[in-house]
Amino acid sequence: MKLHHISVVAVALLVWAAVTAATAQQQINSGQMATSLAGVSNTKLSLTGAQMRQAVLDNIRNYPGALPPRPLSFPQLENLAQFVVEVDFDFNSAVIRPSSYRTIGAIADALHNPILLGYGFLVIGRSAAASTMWA
Amino acid sequence: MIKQRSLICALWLVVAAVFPVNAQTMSYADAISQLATAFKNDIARYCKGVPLGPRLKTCFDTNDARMSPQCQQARAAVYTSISRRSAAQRNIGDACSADIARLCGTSYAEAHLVECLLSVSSAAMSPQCSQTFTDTGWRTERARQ
Repeated sequence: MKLHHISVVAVALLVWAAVTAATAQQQINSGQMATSLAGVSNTKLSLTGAQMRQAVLDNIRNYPGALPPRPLSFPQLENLAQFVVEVDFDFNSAVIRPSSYRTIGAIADALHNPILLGYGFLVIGRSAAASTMWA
Repeated sequence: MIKQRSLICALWLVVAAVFPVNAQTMSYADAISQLATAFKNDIARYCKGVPLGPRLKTCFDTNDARMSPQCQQARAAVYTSISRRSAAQRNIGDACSADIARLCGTSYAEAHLVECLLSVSSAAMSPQCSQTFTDTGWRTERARQ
């Protein structure tokens, strides 16, 4: 008997990539993450990561160096079970600061929880407007 | 009397250090926090700007000899504990399949195995299954929800 993963339902993890000093790290623990993601309805998501990436690239191309008139939004994601955590990065860099290591570890613990077997996950990040890094 | 007590204490510590079999394994959150704390100065000195992940582990490995004894100890403890947890999570299906079938029935396999194992006492399980379940961390993970 082996544990195995079957992706049937999409679940979103939103990672808020903060490039400024953290105000207060969320104290959400891995158990809370796992329960908040479990028990979602069998919603099929017709939006792929590649489409979202393309929408972000289009937005950057259409509004170079400026904020778009309205923020990019993906209403389909609102129906998914999700939680938001803050992860601090070095400015303009993909390097996560040690102050956020615990949050990343807690996500790893939640994703190892067997109650989430059978779910697929979508990790979405965003960075500050001043940064040239984007996800 | 005090000497005797000290001796017993010392012996207990030695036994606990040599036979840490029943100890809990660390969660990933605890493991990475311990590394971040123990390595705080060494990360800044030897691994600055290295992203969290395999490259950071490589950096720790490469600079092992130069790192403080505190780092080396923390690293060994964390790696051992995480390896044990990871192996237990991988193997629990095999280690507990007979127990689950006997105690809860086959419908409690896979995603439901934790419900089964939490509902029965450790004494009812085989020692191997009980130890593997403890090592997965799912006893405490559930308790914290």
